[in-house]
Amino acid sequence: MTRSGTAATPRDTGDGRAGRLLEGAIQHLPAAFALVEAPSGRVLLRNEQTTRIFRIDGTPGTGIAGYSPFVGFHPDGRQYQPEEWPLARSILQGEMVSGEVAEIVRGDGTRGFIRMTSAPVQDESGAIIAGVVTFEDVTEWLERERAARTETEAALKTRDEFLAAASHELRNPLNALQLHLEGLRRIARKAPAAFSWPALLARLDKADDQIARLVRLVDALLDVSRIKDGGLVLECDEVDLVAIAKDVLQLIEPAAAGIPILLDAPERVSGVWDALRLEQVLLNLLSNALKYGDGKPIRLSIQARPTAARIEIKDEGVGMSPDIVSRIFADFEQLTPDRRHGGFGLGLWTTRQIVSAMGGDIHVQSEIGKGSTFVVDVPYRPAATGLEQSAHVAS
Amino acid sequence: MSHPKPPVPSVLIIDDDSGSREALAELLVDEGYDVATAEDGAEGLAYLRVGHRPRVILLDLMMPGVDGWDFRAEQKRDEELAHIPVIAISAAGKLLDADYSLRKPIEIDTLLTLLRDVMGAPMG
Repeated sequence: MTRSGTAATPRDTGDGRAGRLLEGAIQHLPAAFALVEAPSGRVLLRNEQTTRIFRIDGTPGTGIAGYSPFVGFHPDGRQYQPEEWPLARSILQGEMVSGEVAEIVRGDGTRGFIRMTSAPVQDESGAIIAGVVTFEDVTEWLERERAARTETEAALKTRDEFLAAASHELRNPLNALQLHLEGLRRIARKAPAAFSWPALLARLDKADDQIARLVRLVDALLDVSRIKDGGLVLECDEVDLVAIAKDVLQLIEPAAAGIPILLDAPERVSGVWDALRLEQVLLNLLSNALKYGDGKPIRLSIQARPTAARIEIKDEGVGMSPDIVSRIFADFEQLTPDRRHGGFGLGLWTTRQIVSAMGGDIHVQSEIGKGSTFVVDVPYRPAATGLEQSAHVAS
Repeated sequence: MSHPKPPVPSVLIIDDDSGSREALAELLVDEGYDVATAEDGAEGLAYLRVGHRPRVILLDLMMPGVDGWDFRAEQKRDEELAHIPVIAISAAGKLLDADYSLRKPIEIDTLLTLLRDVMGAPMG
């Protein structure tokens, strides 16, 4: 908004009231204000804020050279020379400066940031007779901005890591699927007669397996995305953990390919849980045990403890170093360069999120060459807060 | 060529992903190559150390246990094995000192051309 100087001047009533009003207004401005004479730079008028922001007592020395007690730095770290301050540029060169930010060293030695706006004041002939500057302390605002930016950058980094992880996870089944189809195409082109129908069907079944894997991965990735976006919503009901475990064992039997999974559990362990999510936890941990279990038997035990049900999944496979153990549940770690020894997918991350949403706890004991034991404790009821709405307790 | 060609050019595939490993093995067998597979770097090294000498190694990088990077370092330390060319095939990551690098999903024509360049045409 631009107004002419005349329109903004309070009407002079002849008793000096207008002048006092103007000065009062300047003193109470939320920003620092100074009016200086041109070209000398002598301060004609300034408000308290100038002292408060710079924490320098008394009026600065005469003229532009007198600005030297004000210590400020350009963004490139160069110190402001007296004639480089916006106000000096306005009265010397007629420059309009809008929102220039400088780091300052205050009179008490502390550092901060100010944002300055200055303009020349011209007479009817266009000659510069004065200059005005306003400035404000933006230190806190900048700090908040910086914190917000750091937060945004962290969120973007997580999203990038997620996309990289997703892309990596999807490439293996895509690769296998493409190889199967390309293999079939090559045979069809070169020697179709040499290929039997059963062999063709076997190849198609294998391609199908890879599609099923892709679907599972896409589901898992969507889960991660869902958890990241809004957390997990649990659909809780009174269910029997042992029955769920037995269902999961049936589900995983083909993948186990003959590797025994021994269940050690009481007849029934009831609680108010999200059955599908518990099933997912068991499936993830058992798949993991099969993958790294070196083909040896896996033990799944369920115990009814006083406040929580305990699930233990123990394999006697390759095990993990303490370094990997400390990081396996961390966020999308598998693609960080030092994680190349790991090879775990998103499953464990998702598992931990589910267990946490249930108010439970998951940890792992592992030793290289001896295997790993994942221990999950899930309280019998969801925590009182947050989950009540979706908990339907069968009475 | 100064040295005689072996009867069937042999390839060792090292990949922990069974789907990729088996699909690639089947395709290369169909193309006339003699193929051996290993589930990780340790198994690959064991295969080589009992005396097998494939003409090319197709090496996945991200594997549990002895991964592609470790395998390559170990292979280069072993004078008997250092000369075997390695084609790195990975869904993520890079092996800077691989002889060649391909990214999953593999471009089949590129791989077959590469194999022919490295060790000549397969039989059959």
